[in-house]
Amino acid sequence: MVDFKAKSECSRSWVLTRSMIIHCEDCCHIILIESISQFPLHRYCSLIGRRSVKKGIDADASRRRRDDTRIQIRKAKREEGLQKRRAMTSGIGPNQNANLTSNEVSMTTATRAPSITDIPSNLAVLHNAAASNDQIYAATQVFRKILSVENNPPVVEVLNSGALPVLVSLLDNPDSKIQFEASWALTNIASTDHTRVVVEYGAIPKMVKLLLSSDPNVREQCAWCLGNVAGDSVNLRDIVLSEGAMNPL
Amino acid sequence: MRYILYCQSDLFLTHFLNVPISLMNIQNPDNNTLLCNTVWALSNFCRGKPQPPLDSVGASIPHLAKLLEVNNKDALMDALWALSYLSDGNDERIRAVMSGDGITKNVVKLLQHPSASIVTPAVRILGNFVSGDHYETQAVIDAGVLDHIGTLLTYPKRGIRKETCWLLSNIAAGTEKQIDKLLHRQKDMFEIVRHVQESEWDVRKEATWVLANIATGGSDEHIHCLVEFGSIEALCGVLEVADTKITLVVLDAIENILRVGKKESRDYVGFVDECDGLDRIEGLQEHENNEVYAKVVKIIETYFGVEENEDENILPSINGGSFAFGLTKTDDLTSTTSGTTQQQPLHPFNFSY
Repeated sequence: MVDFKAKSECSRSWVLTRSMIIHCEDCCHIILIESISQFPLHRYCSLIGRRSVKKGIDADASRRRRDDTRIQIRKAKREEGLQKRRAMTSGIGPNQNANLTSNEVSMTTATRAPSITDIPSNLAVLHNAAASNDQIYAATQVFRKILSVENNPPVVEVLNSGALPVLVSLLDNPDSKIQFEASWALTNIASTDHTRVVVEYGAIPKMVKLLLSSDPNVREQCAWCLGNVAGDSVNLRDIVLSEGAMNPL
Repeated sequence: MRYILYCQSDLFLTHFLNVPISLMNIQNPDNNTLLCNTVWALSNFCRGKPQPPLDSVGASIPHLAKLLEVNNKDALMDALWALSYLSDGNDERIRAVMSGDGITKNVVKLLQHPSASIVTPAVRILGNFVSGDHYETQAVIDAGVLDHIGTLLTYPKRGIRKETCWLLSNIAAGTEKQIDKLLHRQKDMFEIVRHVQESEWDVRKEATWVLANIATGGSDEHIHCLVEFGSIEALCGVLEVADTKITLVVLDAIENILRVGKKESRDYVGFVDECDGLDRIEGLQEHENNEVYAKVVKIIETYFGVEENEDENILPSINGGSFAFGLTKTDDLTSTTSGTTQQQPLHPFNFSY
């Protein structure tokens, strides 16, 4: 795996892998990383605080702790490329494997990736109580794909369409492939500035439950999403913890 | 109902036996990416200030401790970051993390890891550990941290050099025995002095703390040793930098070095003068910060001979309008040689308004 070391003119050092964009809060230096690395963003800004050294006092008192009061956002969007890699190696599941492959094939033969124009029709499928499992799965996947494009995924458009509550409710769907697609879509919403709405629509307790899913892909995706939510702010981190995400992790 | 159907049997057990399933995806991961993502998520759970209560995240410590021996660089890296967030704080947190099985020993071992992305959080954790009490600091020293500082002080990555100096500054703030250990590493001490003289500012500042902590907390013997490493010149050089906090720290250090020198009749006053330290100290009388001003005046009066004026007017009122120290310089200053320090005033002060 590539180990990116961000160059930075500022006095902060960034250690990171895993992201497309890194920016330093101190100097607003933005670094773009060309290739998609496999895992979520990890970044860190080191700040050292001081405490005065007092002569003649017990030496412990003169020790200085780091005094880093800032929290840095530490989120990652899951990209499209990763899923393909995984599908080739392990497959998503015995049942849906054929389905998925044909789906991907038809997608490429049609040479058309899903876009925001597909939102209304697919949302209609998700609202349709009579829709089959396969239809729900395919429609959920469309949302996931729309949100997994490399640059500027149309999060706002998806949110404005009213799809969010539906995606959250799909976490309760008994089909783990659907849970997986929905949690991936939610992960990518949570990786943007719109993390809070994912929490407001009640995704956290559902994801915490899914951390105990028998499907490792679902568990992983939910852990990823919860990591994004916790990485957004101290406040959301505490919500994640108070929902009991720690133990089942 | 439905959810029990598709969840694993461990959930069932949890419900009925009330046994927490702790971090199964870390203890017993199905695959590497699952492990990596889970550890990453966990590190985010531990991250940020105000910190999450130890009650809610502390249970992860034994599992994170085990991850230090895992052969997966990303999981290792995030486990280290998680531990660095957990150990960043009061003694209770530090102790909780240090109680993890083999943590100190393994983190010290990871200082030799070829990747900076592992070394960075490892230094951070150990830096947090040594900011604890003497026992915690001693445990880190006993684990052999000092054997690695030579490499770390010359590490290509600046952040690592800086945090290594920060770590050492907290060892330098330790017991005499701990200071001793540090001073015995001659090559590293010279490297620290070099950092104080010529490194990038953030490294330089941390390195300054190392010398200053030894100067203020060390024994007389330690201070002589410190002077032999060239600390006086290095510290005086820092006085040129306009950072009030560090100026105060350096002034305290210089003052204590001079105090020990005077007590043991060593001509440290001459050393300060020779490296233009006195000029800088004098210049600081114009510093806007009152504390700096007061310290500087005290140092000059005590060690650079203005005893005859002491009774008159030690700290004249600031409202005095046109008053200023040292405005009237005479040739005495430049003609003064080192070695003629304590009895003879180097520098006459004009206290007139």
